[in-house]
Amino acid sequence: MTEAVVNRGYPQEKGLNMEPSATLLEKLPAQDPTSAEPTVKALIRGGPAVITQLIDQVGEQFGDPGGVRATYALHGATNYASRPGADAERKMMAETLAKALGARHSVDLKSFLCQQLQLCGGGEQVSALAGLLHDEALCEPATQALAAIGGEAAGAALRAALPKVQGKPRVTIINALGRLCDAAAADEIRKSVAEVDPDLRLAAWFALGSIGDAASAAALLRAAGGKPSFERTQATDAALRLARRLGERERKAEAESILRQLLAQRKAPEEVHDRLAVLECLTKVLREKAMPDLMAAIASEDLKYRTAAARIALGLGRAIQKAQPDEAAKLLKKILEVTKEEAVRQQAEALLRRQGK
Amino acid sequence: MGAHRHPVTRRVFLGAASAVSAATILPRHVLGGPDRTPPSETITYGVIGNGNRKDGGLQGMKAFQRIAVCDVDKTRIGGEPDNKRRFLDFRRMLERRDMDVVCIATPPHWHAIMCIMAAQAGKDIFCEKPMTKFIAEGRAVVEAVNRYGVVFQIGTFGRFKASREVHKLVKSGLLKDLKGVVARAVASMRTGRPSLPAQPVPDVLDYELWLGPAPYKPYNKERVHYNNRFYWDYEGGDLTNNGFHSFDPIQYTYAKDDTGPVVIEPHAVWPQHPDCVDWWQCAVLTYADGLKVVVDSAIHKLEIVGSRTVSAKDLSAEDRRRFDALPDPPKLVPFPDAVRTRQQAGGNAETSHRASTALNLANIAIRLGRTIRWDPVAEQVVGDDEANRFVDIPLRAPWHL
Repeated sequence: MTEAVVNRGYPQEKGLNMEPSATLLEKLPAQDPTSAEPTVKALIRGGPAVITQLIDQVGEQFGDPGGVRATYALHGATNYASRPGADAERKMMAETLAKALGARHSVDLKSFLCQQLQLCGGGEQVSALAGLLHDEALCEPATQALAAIGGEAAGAALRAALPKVQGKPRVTIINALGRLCDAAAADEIRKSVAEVDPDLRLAAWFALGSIGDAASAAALLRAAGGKPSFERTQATDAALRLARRLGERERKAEAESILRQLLAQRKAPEEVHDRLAVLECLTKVLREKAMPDLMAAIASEDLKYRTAAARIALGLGRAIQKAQPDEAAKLLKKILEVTKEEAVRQQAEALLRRQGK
Repeated sequence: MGAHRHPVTRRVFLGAASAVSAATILPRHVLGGPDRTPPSETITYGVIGNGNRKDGGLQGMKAFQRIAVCDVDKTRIGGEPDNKRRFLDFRRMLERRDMDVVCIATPPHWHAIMCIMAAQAGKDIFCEKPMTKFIAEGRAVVEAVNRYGVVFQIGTFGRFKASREVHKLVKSGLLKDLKGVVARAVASMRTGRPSLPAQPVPDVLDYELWLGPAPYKPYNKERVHYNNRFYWDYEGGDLTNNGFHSFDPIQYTYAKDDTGPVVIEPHAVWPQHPDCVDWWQCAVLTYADGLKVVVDSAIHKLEIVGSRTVSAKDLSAEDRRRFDALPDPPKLVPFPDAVRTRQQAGGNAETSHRASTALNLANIAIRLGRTIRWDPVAEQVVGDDEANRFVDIPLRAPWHL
């Protein structure tokens, strides 16, 4: 791997001292980036050999006092090599860090290396990181690095590992696949929607909602229909995520169906916040077609409901003003009729003025 | 060691054109209904994070009554946990349906998740500053607060005393630009310690829950309970801690509540340690209209020379007439009034997110050792992939935004 970098033209200088000497490291950290630059440049010019020695000097234990200088230097080199326009240097750093993941290092040191790859890693480092996903202690930092790298290769590595892990690593990987909105993982994640372990169950809800997996709608709505609890709020959030994703993909009827079912579940006075969340999502999905819902909401007797609804309506008024000025004006005038909030009134008035109304 | 040298110059010239508890539980539903003034003025709240700050931001506000406390440290909840008034897990506390407000006074790496979950539970939020640890968290909080229609107030109030006239003037758009205007936000500076060995976790502390979304690092007492703010995993040092107090009123004064700086230039020791906050002198934030804000650690007596002031007198006679005809800016609504009337509070989620973003950008530039450019609409660093990895950091499971 290292040789490949050199062959691609990494500017490793012949005759350079290949060891990060104590004198060199003593120059770091410097009083400012400009003063530090020659030292960090020299380390990077040393190429994989020097960077590998730096890694060895960081220390196997977290916070090893003997490794402080090397820690500064390695992290500085990671940052510097990742600057815009220095892709060859970034690749050299990332490949050297990834190669060290395969060496005999401690969990502490490998975690640190994963954290550096979280900053500078690219698609080429996915396989090295994927090799750590089955290690209970290293799954977490490796997953975070993969989540930061993102893209199809990172998603594929996480997907491939998922059926083979249980417990905390499974929660970790599902969480990351949710972050990446990895649709291809939905079938495997769906197996965890009714898990006994609440962390696993809730991670699955989040991921399936984020992915926009329509096949999970019934399960999420069922969970959202439970007794008031923390879990119910999480199921509601997942169902709302799902509706938003479907709306973004123009599957508006499915999104609206989920939202109407949620609305039907939440009628109690203390559930007004859930009704507002549904209203906000309906407005995003249906836009001007949500006007009847919005009009009813801003005329509500419930202060909390109508005040927040007026802000949602204001946003819609702004969004449709150009395309549907008459509809927007009707909405803005209704807002002015019902809301006392000065900030909202001023904005509604300004929008109407802009329309000459 | 190098990290303890005083860096950078003592004087920065920025001329006109230069670039430089025992609770009585009051069920909320019996206190009032739609549009009725509650028979009791009491707003009930629970506090999460009962350490140094506790509920200091709400103390002295007569409207509030504390009905529950939560902390991952058993010694900080005033007795044995009972999941009624004393909690170790904030998720259980959020299930109390008689609680109107949640006061979040934990380390900042928890703020976003707790704010979002409080909003999902329908609670109004009083959150200590800085609002969030990284930028994407702030946007997620804004979205949750708007979605669930709850009230948010950040735990700093300087903007309530800031100049409304200058705010109105800048907001009016009648000024050509703010070139040559330089404001100074003073923070302070303390650093973390780079070599902290693992120590046994005290029995009274749920360290797993203390870490929450932060990457796992071995326990050391120096990393928790106040000093956490000097480690990047949990906060951004005094720049985001004390810096927030002085930056936020500047942001309001110059009407930057819905935008952010476009260029961020660091002046600090470099490399910064990957784990602990290091020495820094200042960061210069430049906005699209030319306004500069110098966030200053105050380790030297930094002088700003040649800054201009702005006032309505700068306007032409015609523009002055236009300016006078404009409505005054809405008065900033104090938190208790906002909770009762459902208006947005003066230090609401969007404004706090923007202030937090500006300070987090300063830290990103300091950590990278390079000037960065920010797109305040897309909320992305322009042309710097690594910098963007600091904007949206993956969280440790099971936590997510």
